[in-house]
Amino acid sequence: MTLQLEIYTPVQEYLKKEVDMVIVPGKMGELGILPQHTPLLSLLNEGMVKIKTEGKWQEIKISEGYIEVGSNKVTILVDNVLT
Amino acid sequence: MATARDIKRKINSVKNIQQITKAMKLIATTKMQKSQNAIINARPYANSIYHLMSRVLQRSREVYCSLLEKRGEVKVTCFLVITSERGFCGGFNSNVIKAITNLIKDKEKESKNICMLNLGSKGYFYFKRQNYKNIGHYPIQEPIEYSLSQDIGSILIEKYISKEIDEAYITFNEFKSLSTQRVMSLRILPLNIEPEIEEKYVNEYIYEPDPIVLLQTLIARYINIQIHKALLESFAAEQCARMVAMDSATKNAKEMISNLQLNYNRVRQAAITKEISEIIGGREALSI
Repeated sequence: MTLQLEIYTPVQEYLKKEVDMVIVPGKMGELGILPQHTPLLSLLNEGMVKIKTEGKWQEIKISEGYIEVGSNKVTILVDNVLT
Repeated sequence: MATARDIKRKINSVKNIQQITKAMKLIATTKMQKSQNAIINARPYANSIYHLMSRVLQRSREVYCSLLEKRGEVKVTCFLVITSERGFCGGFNSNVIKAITNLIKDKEKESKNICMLNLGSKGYFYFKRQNYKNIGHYPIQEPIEYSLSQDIGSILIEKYISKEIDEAYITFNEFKSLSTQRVMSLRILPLNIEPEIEEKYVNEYIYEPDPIVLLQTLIARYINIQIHKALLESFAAEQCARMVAMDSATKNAKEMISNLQLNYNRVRQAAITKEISEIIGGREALSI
């Protein structure tokens, strides 16, 4: 079971791939998202997005933005990817 | 009558101009391709923001947000005008200026005040001469940065909330195809959005923080990305207009050169004929 993760900024499609898990800096605290997560819409703080793909972790620094979790699909919208 | 040397000189100068217009056309073509990519890259973000916003709106339609509500009495209308930094692009700037002038006439009939926010110097200098109130001027720099749109967006919202302006329109050349641009006028403040209705998961969503806060930040972002999109469209349209203008300039130069060449040949021939007849005349004078 995997999640479809998409990260968009106003100037590019930064990332689009299948991942196992993603941890994001939500406004109310860190959110860990696994497949089959319930639908969610949240503001994101500036911070690190951690992505787990096939057992490996990858980190991306982002500015403020949004996360939308739909049916096994995670869309992250940020103003800027800082790395 | 022009001598052969004058004509030759003229041909050379037209040739130089032709080279310049040809180069300008090539530059515009590459810039246009780049800016087209930028438009495509901005699209998914813009669509997603719109999608999120209409979802939140649908969920909380009773939420009052001043940025969405039309004001009862509109006193000051703000026009955000996007023109180019440079000329040599056919009717690109004059089309926008004409459209704005018409809009202003309508607004002035209703005795409303007008103010301008200019993006691009061509429009700025024109409206400055017309003595319209100017609340900001930003030159358009390449590449077009998103941060510029963020700045403009926050200025507009600030002025809207402090009631310095009661509505805002953005006017720019839309990139329709390689050969056509169309002047577009959109109202960006207050926003008008029709929420999508077909979603089925609406009520199952968890919102963090609550929808009202989300909506306010989303609207600000939406305005920013609208401005950014308009800037990109206008830039692509400008390059297209320049491409077409420079292409026809190159063609005209070519035609002019061939006319001048014909003229040159004629004058040269006339000079030769004249010289021959002089020699013959001289010889005849001697033999008698």
